[in-house]
Amino acid sequence: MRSFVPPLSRMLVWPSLIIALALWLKGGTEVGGGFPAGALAGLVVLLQYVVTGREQARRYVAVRYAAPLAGVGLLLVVGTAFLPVLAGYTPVSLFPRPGQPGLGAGAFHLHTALVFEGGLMLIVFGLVVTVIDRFALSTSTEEESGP
Amino acid sequence: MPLLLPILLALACAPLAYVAGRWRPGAAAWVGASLAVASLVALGWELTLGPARLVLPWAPTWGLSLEFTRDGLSGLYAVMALSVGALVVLYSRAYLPHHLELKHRPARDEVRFHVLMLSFMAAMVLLVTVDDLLLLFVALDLTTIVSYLLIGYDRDDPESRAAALLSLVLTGATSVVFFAGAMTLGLQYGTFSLPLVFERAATSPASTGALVCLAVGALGKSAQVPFHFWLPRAMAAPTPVSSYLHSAAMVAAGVFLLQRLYPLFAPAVAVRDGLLALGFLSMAVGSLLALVADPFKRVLAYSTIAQYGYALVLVALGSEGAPLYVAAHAPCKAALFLTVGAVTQVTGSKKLSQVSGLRHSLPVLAGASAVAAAGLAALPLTVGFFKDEVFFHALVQKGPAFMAAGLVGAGLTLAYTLRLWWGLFGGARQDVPAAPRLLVAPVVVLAASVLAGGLLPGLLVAPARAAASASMTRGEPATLELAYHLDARAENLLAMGAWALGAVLFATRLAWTPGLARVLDGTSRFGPEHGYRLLLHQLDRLSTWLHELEVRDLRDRVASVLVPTGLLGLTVLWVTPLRHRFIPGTVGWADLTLVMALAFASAAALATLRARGHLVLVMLISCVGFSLAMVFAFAAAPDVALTSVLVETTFTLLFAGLLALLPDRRLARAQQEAQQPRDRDRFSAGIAGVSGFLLSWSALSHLEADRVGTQTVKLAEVAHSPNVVAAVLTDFRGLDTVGEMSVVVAALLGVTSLLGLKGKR
Amino acid sequence: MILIASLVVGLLFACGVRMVLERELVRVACGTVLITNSSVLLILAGSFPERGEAVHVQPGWPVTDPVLQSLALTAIVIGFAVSALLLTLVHRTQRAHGSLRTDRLVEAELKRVHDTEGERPV
Repeated sequence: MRSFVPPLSRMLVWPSLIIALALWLKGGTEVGGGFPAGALAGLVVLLQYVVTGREQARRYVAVRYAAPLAGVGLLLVVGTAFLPVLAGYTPVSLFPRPGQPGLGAGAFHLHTALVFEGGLMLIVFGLVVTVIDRFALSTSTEEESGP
Repeated sequence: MPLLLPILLALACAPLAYVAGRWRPGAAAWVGASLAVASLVALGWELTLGPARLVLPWAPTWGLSLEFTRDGLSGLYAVMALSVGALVVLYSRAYLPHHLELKHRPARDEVRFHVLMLSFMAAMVLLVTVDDLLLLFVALDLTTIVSYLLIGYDRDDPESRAAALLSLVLTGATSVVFFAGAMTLGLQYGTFSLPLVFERAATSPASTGALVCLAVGALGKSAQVPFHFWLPRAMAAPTPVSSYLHSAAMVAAGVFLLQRLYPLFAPAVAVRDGLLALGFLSMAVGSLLALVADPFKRVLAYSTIAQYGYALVLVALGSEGAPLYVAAHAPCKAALFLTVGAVTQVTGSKKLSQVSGLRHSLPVLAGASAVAAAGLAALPLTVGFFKDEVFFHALVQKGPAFMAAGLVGAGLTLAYTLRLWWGLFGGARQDVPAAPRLLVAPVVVLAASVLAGGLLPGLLVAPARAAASASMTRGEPATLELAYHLDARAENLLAMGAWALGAVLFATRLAWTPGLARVLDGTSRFGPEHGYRLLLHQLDRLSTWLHELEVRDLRDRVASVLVPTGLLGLTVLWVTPLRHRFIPGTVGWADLTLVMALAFASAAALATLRARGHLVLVMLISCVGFSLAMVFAFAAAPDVALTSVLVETTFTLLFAGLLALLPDRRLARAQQEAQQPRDRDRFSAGIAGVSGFLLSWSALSHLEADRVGTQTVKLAEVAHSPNVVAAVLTDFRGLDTVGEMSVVVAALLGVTSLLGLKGKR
Repeated sequence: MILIASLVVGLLFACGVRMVLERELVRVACGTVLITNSSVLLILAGSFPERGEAVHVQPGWPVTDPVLQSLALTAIVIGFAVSALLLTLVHRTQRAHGSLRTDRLVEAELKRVHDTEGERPV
């Protein structure tokens, strides 16, 4: 009998990722933000590793390049924080500034805080996926070369 | 931007020389030297335009900017650094191949040497041009680091490495002290910009502590007593390094700092008196050691200590001649260093007792170095005469005791200079091969400049006055006069007395040298160098002892941190008089869910202590985590609860994954051996727990009614973020979040490097 | 409420310390997790007396202190990153030394120090 778990877990990938994206984008208005979004996305990948194994999980590009993604995230965070310094603002000045009119509709607001939160998300995602990947990698080598 | 042109050219020297060296090793020195000359020309052109300042805002909101100045002082020192630097680099083009051959190293290593020398030159130019306390410190440390690499250039030689380390430790440690002084000043005056600091110091003088810190940094760099002993050791470096760093550049940096910051020192008479005493002490120690030292380079090193003692005295007395003194000394000392380097190369010996009578084989070198030696000993018709004239002029105003001390010092200078020159070139004839032309030419150029300064003193007046008015007279026009006076004024009489004393000492040297050598040898046992070695040894032993103690039992180490901290916390609570120290708080029906979740978390935590298997343990830990997430949810903190749940899930799975990785046998064995708690572990945990409980109870009992939180709620709406928590994280405390993310990235890098892709065993 | 919260903080901390003082690495890791949990709880316990809205706050309504919430969030994330590092460290140590016991590590360390001191010329 074929287990129903692997197809189910694969079906869960996209909805979960969409929820993660929603957590990120709505973080400024509703409950959510970069941390939970990154953790949720990482959790989805973790599920793939547990259910389908390392080879299958690494089909996704974002999984293969998780560590570089964390680097990109760090760049985003540091860039949002310190690029305003060059323009003469205090560090971590976000745009639009207080008093300026905001853009956006409903729960979604266009704001540089989104870039910042996106950076957080990528970093947390990168950490989770890298740790999982390394653990999974050493499991497979252990099994091959172990007694 | 024109002010930056010489600096940029100087900074470009090292990289371009490196590129040229990749193409052909011999070209590096020529490219570097010609760029240095170009920078010198640009600087000369700049100086004709008069003083100027350049402020480049860097991070204006933090009050940081790059500030550069062009005044007489920076001009004088930059010209000195660039011209001597160019000559020394050319000289090392001839010196290095032979040196590398002796050390059995490839000829390509030459490029590294030139690049380091040119980097040092650039750092020096930067140091003298910046006009900001922080940048001064940065440039100072740059010179320290490059000098470490240069002194330790012969990296296979343990003596050379030890000397480099000594110089790094001493000049690095003293420059940290300098940094402390600079920070104190910056906090006191609210700015690091030097002109502003001077302006504000005019109304409220700088604190003595800060000035002493600044002076310590300068003394360490200038190799003054009690930090002098690194300089003779640094003679293990190749000779071009000694001739540049230890005549015109690195040791000059210390005295330069004192001159640059003189407006701060001027009102502090006590600090200046201390500097005066140290200056005289350095003069005495340096001169006496130079009289008995046998290796040529050591003679010159001790002489440098003594000569910078003179400069220190001049600064301490507030004399206008202080910048001139350093500038007049540099070419003489550099020429002499280059001379002894050439002598070592052609004869292969390094000690005075091994050579003599080289004047027949090396006539040009003998003549040029005679001029330089005359300059060092302050004989007339050389630029050195004026350095002693300004020195005596400053002493005459202080009184007869100072005049006598100055006379003896100058006499000793003449004696050791004569001893060195005569030891090399006088006496019984020795025939050696001729020196390469490139080794002699820089000495000749330097000697010519020494002569030119002596014959045409009028040329020196303008730069010396400009330098003095930029530092010693604090903006007032300087009144320094340089001319030969053929009358019986006090300065002339002192000079004559000094020459007579020097001649007598030199003539009778055989009578007193052995005795002096014995005395100095005996006292060196109690000197600061001995202290340094003792300190190093004891630190080594202490670190070994601590290490042994630390690793003997890891559990005791943890306990030794936790138990005293817990006791300390309890003591603090005991002695702090707080009204209503502990408030039990109220529990309403609405809190029931919260209390239940908390109880569940406590139960799970207690159960972990009794958990038999590892999997159970992990489950219990995650149980604690989920209970707490529940607590956060009931406490109306949805963001925290959401993150907590997600993180806890991930973590539990990771932990389970770790258990899958660990071998079963080992887990089982570890399981058996665990669970044998010692009584003292229970005791430590008890102390820590009670202390943590009481401290948090006390803290929670003193919450302010008016919180920051209520403010942030109002601000968040303005900041376009209805979710107040997100606003706090990304906006109000954004810098914290950046720091937090760097921790996460550091953890990520740690994981990647610990479990490399190769899966090493 | 204050008393209960601080009691739980103290209890979690004590259990954490007790685990850290074990002789086995997995338990040491668990202990640090417990200590992290106790500190997060302490931070957020400051907001227990006044609990209310966190998002879309109406003026005049009770508010859960947002600063404390964000501090707790930061603590959770850092705690997670450090624990993940700790887990890999446990794994790596086990691979390198073949043991999960701290006293074995001490023996290996002392031996290494002894060896390097023997090599050093006196």
